[in-house]
Amino acid sequence: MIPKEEFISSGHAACGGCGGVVGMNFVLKALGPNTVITIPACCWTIIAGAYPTSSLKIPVFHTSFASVAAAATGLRAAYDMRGKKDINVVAWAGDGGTFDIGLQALSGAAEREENIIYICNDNEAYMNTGVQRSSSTPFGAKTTTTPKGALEINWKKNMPEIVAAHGAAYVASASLAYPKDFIDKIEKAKNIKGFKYIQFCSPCPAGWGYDARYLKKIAELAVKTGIYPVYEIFDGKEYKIQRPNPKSKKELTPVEEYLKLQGRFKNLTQENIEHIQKKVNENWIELMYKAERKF
Amino acid sequence: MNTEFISGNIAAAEAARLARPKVVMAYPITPQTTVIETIAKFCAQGKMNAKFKKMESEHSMIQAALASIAGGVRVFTATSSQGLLYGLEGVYWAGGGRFPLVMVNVNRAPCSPWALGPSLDDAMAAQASGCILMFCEDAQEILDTILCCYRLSEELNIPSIINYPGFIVSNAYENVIIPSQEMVDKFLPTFVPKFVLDPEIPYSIGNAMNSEDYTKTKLFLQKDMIKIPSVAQGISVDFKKMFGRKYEMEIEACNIETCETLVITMETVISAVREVTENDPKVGFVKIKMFNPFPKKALRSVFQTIKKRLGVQNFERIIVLDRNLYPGEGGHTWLKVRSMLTGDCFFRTILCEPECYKPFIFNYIVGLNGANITSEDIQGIVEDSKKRYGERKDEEIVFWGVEK
Repeated sequence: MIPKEEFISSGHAACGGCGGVVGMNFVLKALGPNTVITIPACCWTIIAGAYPTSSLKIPVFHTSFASVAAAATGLRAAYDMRGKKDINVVAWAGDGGTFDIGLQALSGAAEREENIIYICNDNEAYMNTGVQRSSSTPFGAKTTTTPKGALEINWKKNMPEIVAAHGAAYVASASLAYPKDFIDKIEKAKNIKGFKYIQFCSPCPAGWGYDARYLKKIAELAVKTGIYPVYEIFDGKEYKIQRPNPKSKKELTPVEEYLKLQGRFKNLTQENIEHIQKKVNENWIELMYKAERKF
Repeated sequence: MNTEFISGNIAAAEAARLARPKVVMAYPITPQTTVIETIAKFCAQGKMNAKFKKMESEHSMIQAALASIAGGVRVFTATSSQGLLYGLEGVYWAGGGRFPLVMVNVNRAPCSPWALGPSLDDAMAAQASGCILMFCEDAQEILDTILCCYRLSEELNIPSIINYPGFIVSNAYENVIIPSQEMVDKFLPTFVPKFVLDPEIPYSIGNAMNSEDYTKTKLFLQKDMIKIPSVAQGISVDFKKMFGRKYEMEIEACNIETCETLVITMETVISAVREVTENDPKVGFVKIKMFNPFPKKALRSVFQTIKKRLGVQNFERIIVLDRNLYPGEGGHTWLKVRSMLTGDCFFRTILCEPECYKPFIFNYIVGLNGANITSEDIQGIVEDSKKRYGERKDEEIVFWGVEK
């Protein structure tokens, strides 16, 4: 059951078809009103509304770009000292504020096992500043700083693995196309003590180059193709994968079906696509292997 | 109340213990480290009931401290030099956001090149952040200043940075009167935040603002900054009443009734000046304790006293000693004294009568990166200023000790 209570007001400042708003909606529905959120520089700095308004019905602590996990640490410490241990403290950042500039603070909070929920609104580039490449940008994607497509760079940084390597209590990736799974994960995070990291694939019509109505389709294909697998890691070692195509014989949908819908992949050659398919298959096998390991 | 033989850093930690912060955000840096080490020990021993968080950087440390204040608790934190510069984004965040943060900064010359000795340039980077900047000469002053700054910051919602020079003060041991917890509790009651982030009353902190509202926040800050001298005076009165010792937050003045030459400086540079003023009543000093906001009113009253006694013609020289530098401009204290006293030099030379030139304000850069400064240096500087006065040269910045 998806909770009925809404925590985002209409009239917020997001673009039409923004995945980040759907994600925030799921997160807050799962956590409920006893929640305080801290947001660094990211799309949600703007979406949350300009003074004296707020589009969120929970308190927001705005903080600097690099320090959302530190701010969450500070809030948690204060509430714990005041005996308000039941308040959910959420750090919400984009991929720039998580994979790049915020990594130090994220690592510190994960290592100290801060009892906070960290959500990464992963739209795979610096969208709020107008689509510049981040270390979350997938191979081949066109951004304003990779005008020919990000072809000469590494694969997207594997943040869930990095956080899991800290021994975090709970790490998960999630998809907007699977609301029940998404909300289940947030509820799980709410009930686990320690550092929780949830990263979700957040399609961005402006940055990815697709028509807003395809939001769900793109989010779904990201999972089905294995490009954005959704899985959980408990205590940094126990993996649980949500199978993308449980009824299909062919487990992964070809990546081309996902890529061809988006303007940011327009420049890809057949060779590039084959490279992506090969890499996705390899990663998928590796993930399956990890999930089947017994401890 | 008892007296203990402790270092400046331990005096800072003792002040933190007495102020009962609920959260201490920490990160090591020389020469501040023994502040947080001592606090970690206090927490481990149960002498302090605070969450002690050793953060991953000063940048995180300051932002986490602000978040804790937003969560409704009193916070203590400390840094130095590069750490302050690294966390400067948070310092501006504190000033603009009106967080009553109390932070220690142990002055150390900023890099590059690598340097460990004290210069005040680290603190000067925070001048325009909207923070109160205090400078201390000894361990007792550190303890007293920290307690008073909690009162001041929490009353006006303006953050304070308490500075003192590295090694010379931070690591030097001296006798410090440590007031009892009962007395401090009376002087500094439990923190009652003016605003708390609370899910039951879901207001936010720091949302984007349009230019008009943003400008209003700066106007309010400006107005409240101007209130500081009078609020600080009230705190000094309470301090005297509670602890039986005199403590003024803005300035300390000496030989004002007898001096012909006035020396203005801060922190331990004044210690060298003291030796001179003790033996020579013709030299007086003003020690700036609160650099930001600059104690203009208090200084003006000192200048007026001297002017009245000597006559305008005979108040010839003010010497400003700066352990800091605004390259190409001069020492920060000199710039402030000069701007408040004489205004633009264009008007001085073109529009004013000759007596309006008086007094001449000479700037000497001393003690950078902990360079030694003795009473002989001060005497030399006083003599040198006489010569320069004869030549009517007060535009030149003198790097004392390296430039003859």
